Amino acid sequence: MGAFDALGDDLVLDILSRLSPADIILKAGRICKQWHLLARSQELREAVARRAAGDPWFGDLEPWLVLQCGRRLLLYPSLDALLNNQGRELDHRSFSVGPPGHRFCFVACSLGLVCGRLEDLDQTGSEAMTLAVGNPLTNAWRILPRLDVKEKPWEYVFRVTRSGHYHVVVAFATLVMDYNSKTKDWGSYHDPDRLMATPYFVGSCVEGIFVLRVDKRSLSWRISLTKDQHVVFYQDRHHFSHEKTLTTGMYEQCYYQLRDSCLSRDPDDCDREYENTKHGEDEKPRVLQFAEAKLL
Amino acid sequence: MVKVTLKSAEGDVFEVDEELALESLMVKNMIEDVGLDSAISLPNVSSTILAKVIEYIKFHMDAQKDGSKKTSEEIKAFDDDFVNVGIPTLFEMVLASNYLNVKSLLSLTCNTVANMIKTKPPAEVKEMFTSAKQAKA
Repeated sequence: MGAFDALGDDLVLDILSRLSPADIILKAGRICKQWHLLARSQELREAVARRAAGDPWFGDLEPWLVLQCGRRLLLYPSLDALLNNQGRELDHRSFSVGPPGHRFCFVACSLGLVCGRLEDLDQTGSEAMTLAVGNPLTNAWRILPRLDVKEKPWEYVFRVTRSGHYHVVVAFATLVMDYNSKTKDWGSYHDPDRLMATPYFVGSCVEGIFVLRVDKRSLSWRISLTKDQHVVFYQDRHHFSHEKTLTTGMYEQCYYQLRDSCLSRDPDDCDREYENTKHGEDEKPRVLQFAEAKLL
Repeated sequence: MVKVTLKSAEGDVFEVDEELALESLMVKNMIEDVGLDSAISLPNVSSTILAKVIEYIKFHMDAQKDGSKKTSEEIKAFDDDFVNVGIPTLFEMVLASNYLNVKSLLSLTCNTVANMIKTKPPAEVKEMFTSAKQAKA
């Protein structure tokens, strides 16, 4: 009896559901075809949610982070690893980000979802752009409606809210466009100050400086990345209590921040959750309850 | 003490206490269905693995008995040592504990596989599993 091939799907799911999303996709998902398919399956998301529901201690909220520097992708499994510069290199070919067939350029991230521009859809001589939102771990993507503004964008803000839907905000010189996953369309604002002051502000890029905020329970960290160094602020609720400067080489782009909730996140789930609440249903899907619990 | 006879895939016979055999929900159901008169045949479990499963159940039953001197450290040390085997054997134990329906052993073995994946870098994980596969072929 060949024990290796004989592990049925339910046993593999049992094993996978004990792992963190990073380990599932980057390690277990590469073992063989069966594990690869299961690592991306809806069944696994449900198994993870069941395990989380049964065990309150399951799942550390330690964030992890992937940075792109030049052609290299570096994974930091925890904030400590980032502070000590103990990144692990990822294989670029087997860890592509973006909807298949498109050239994806990262702009922002929030709670497991990433947002980026699809550069291959840009037309020469036009400022119009197409953005996509997706979960890089499950490889589920949604391409947003084309945005046609005759100005250069100077800032992107992307945030996933507690209720599970998300906003993509693109700030131009004179106006701000806001995509809402509830309405699935762009709206426009002319008052950027109000948006920038939001307490859930998560990731942005201003003139080559990348800012990420990682909330962990009551604490939060803000990480600013510049071209040749990154400055890490450690912040509690009221004031900065720690500041540290590290020289870590060239970070051209900051990729994304992911947490244990990310396997249960899906660009389409967000809308499904909204539709459920809209119809006044008390019983929310289990998977999303799990996601919310992790959002704190 | 009532004895139960278990027969492995190779046809080897293991005689165990009924109390011990009932820890396997699968054997328990078989006993309820066919009684204790004939040997219970387990065609999916090899002799080596069956011996290990019996060893595991026996240790944990003894540890749970009143007056047992075993500390939780000793139990943990036993468990750690018990699953300190190669991937092929570990997978066979996962399968056997699933088939025999021994919940605690299934949980222990699955956790061990998960921990192996957790603690090793990606390349080693892949290699560990592929070499286990080649060894089988």
